[in-house]
Amino acid sequence: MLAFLVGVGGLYAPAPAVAQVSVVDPACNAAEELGLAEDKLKWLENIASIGEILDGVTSIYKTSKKWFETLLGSENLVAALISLSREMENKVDVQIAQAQSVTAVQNVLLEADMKTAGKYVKPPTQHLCKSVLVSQLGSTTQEFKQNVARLAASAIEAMYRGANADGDGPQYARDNYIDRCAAGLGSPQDYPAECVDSSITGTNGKKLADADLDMCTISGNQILEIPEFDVKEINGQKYNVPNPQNAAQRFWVAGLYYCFNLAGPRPSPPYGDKMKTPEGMRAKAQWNVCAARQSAILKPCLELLAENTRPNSSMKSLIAFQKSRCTEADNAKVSIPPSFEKCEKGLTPAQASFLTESLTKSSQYYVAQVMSGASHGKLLEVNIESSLSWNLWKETKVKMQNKVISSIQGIQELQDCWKAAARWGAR
Amino acid sequence: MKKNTKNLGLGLTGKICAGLFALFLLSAVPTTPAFAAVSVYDATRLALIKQKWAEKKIDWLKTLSLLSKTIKGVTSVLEVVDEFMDLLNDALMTSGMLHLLEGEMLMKTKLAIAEAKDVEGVQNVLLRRALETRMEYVKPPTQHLCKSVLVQQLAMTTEEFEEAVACFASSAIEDMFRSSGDDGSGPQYAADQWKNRCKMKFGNPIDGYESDCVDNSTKGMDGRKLTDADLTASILDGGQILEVVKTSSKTEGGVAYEVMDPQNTEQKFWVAGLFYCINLAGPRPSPPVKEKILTPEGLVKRAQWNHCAAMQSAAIKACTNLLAYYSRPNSSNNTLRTAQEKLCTEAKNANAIPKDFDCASGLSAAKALEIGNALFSSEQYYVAAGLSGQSHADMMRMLARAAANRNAAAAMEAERRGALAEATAGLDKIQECWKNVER
Repeated sequence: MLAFLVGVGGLYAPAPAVAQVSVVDPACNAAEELGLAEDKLKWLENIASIGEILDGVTSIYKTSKKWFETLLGSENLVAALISLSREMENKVDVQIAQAQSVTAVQNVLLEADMKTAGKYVKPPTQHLCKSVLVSQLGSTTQEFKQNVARLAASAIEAMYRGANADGDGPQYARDNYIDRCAAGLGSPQDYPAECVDSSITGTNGKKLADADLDMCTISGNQILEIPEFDVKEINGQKYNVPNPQNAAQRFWVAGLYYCFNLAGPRPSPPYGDKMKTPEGMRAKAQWNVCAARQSAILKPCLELLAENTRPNSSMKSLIAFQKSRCTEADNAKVSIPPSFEKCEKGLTPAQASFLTESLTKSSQYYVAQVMSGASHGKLLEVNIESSLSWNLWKETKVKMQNKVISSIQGIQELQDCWKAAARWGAR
Repeated sequence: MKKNTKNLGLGLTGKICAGLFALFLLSAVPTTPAFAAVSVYDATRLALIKQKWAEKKIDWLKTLSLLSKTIKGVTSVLEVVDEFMDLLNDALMTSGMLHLLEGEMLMKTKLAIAEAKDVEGVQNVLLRRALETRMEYVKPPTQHLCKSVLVQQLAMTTEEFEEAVACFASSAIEDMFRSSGDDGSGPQYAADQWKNRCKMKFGNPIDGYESDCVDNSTKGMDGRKLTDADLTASILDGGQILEVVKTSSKTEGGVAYEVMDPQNTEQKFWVAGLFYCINLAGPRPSPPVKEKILTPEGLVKRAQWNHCAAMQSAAIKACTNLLAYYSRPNSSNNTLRTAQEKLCTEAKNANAIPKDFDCASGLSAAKALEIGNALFSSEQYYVAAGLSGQSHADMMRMLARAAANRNAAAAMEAERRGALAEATAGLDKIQECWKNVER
């Protein structure tokens, strides 16, 4: 079982980089909104004569029609304008007829206006404030992500380093089998039944079978959760040993094993006194070079693992913080996918950034800006910025996967490095 | 191997139908060129018309103020007049006659109306603010901004779908040649490849494939055939519509398999895309299985095989990611299709895509993104911005941002294709890894 040295990579919720900012004066704003609403009511009540207005509209329509016909010439009108004119005629006729058929026109107008207001105006609390809070989601996961990646790296880098370890021979091969069996990662088509666990079902009905051989385990198709750990002491050294409690944690362990399998076998370094011989020193020095390179090469895999990892239930403060921000996103009418499980279990960095990106795509985001005085034209500009942000985010996501894909070349080229270490005596 | 062969679509012959194929479906979204002023009219004359129209509006406004002394009256009339002007814009733009300069003229008209309003002595600032809010910001259902916001939500619809499709395809590849007695890098692999190509009719007559292995009836985009579709990266360049293949579940030897059963041309090409990824991966030795693992040699072989398989999974993901990026949902994914159709229709309403664009058959992630980006290249977008008070300079800045947006999308697509090219180098190197298994 992959284990983790105690003290490496704590997994605690970082303090939010941006505390709750008072971006508006709610009292002032409410008064302003109320004042405006009252004025609108008065304004509507003061309508003197709807009939007069309708007459005005009718008069204008007739004038415009006549004007168009005169100006453009009856025979040489562009076809589009003819059809336009007819369309307009029908539209105005219908409009006038409808208005005339209603006795309490004022009430109808008032009702329509209030409906419009109800639909678009005044969310219960300020949208900007919500947006700022939602955007803090990114800062919650930044440190968490690096911590998870570091923790996973420490597990892999600490493997087969003991006195009698053998990271490139029978011990590695045997452990590979035992660990796969213990984690239930065997596929029924090629592993004995005792190594297969069909009881665990992940996202999209995915099973654990071969989850440690499949990049899809860490690419976002599967929800991963950092597992619980037990502390065990082996040869005087304390280790954190994963003790997965649920399907998402089981899949996280599978994801870690995926990166470990990607790394593959490597010779164990000379240990203790054996380092102090001239050969041992050279072997260790060479091994250190290879280990440093391997650490860099595996980082993309571990970062992708971390990108799709959410906290576990022991990280209450982080989950609570994320839940509160997620609730703000919900209040801001951001569409939250069902797979997010209402954010009750925390969010992965990928999920957090998805919510932040989604914020600027919600209709409410634009309605709120309208109510804050942004012009229609400015919002069309914001729309482009939002799309740009989305595309850049997608590019980052694609790159994160591609780094894993391109790392396999480095992993294979590293074989020569390990061979050189083995020649000097690495086991 | 027999099971896996089924997994990859044997038994398809006889089910292949000469499905209707609409060549225009999902072709690159043409956008109305920003400056395509077609000379079917006299520009000077149109400018004159518009100028007079603007003057007339001011006159009307003045007339109206005499007819109606209420702000509401002004609002109603302005709405009608503005709607008329919007329709005029639409008609002119649709027929390719609107130049951005004319958009500016309309904007000036609007400004003139606003000034006239002041002249007419609307005293109450608060009331005027309410009026302006209503006029400028509160959007009726047909407003362009509303459409734009909805169109931008298209990209979100494919987020989970895309990754699920990639992993579905990856699992098909990773499960091949794993059963007892399988041989993934020898005669069985070669024989199965020939059989599969024949069944799927990917054979090319120039190679001397028998006519049974060649499909002459299925036509994809630009008239392309299935011939060699499993050997070309062009199958994954977006030029061909791919639709996730329909499958049915089958259990054999206690193992559940999904058997592919393509229902239309797009699904056949999707299968060809999957076979392209399989061919890219190439042969690999089958691992020791079951009790054969439990020998000293079996353990070492299996551990090495697992290492190679993990690397191959990464390398192949570049291919399955690209396949998924260009895949649209099939008819069993109605929820997604319906959501996409609604948003796609808004893109039509916003004149970002042609009116005959097929929104009903679902959209791939690539197409959803393309539609979103096309919106910012449409004339209508800038006409709407201009009418909403954006200055000429503002709109030029918007155009630059739209270009940056498009470039970001292009960079992302290039990154995807680059990864595929890079993966081939990795796949080549994995050969050494597989050789270690066989040793």
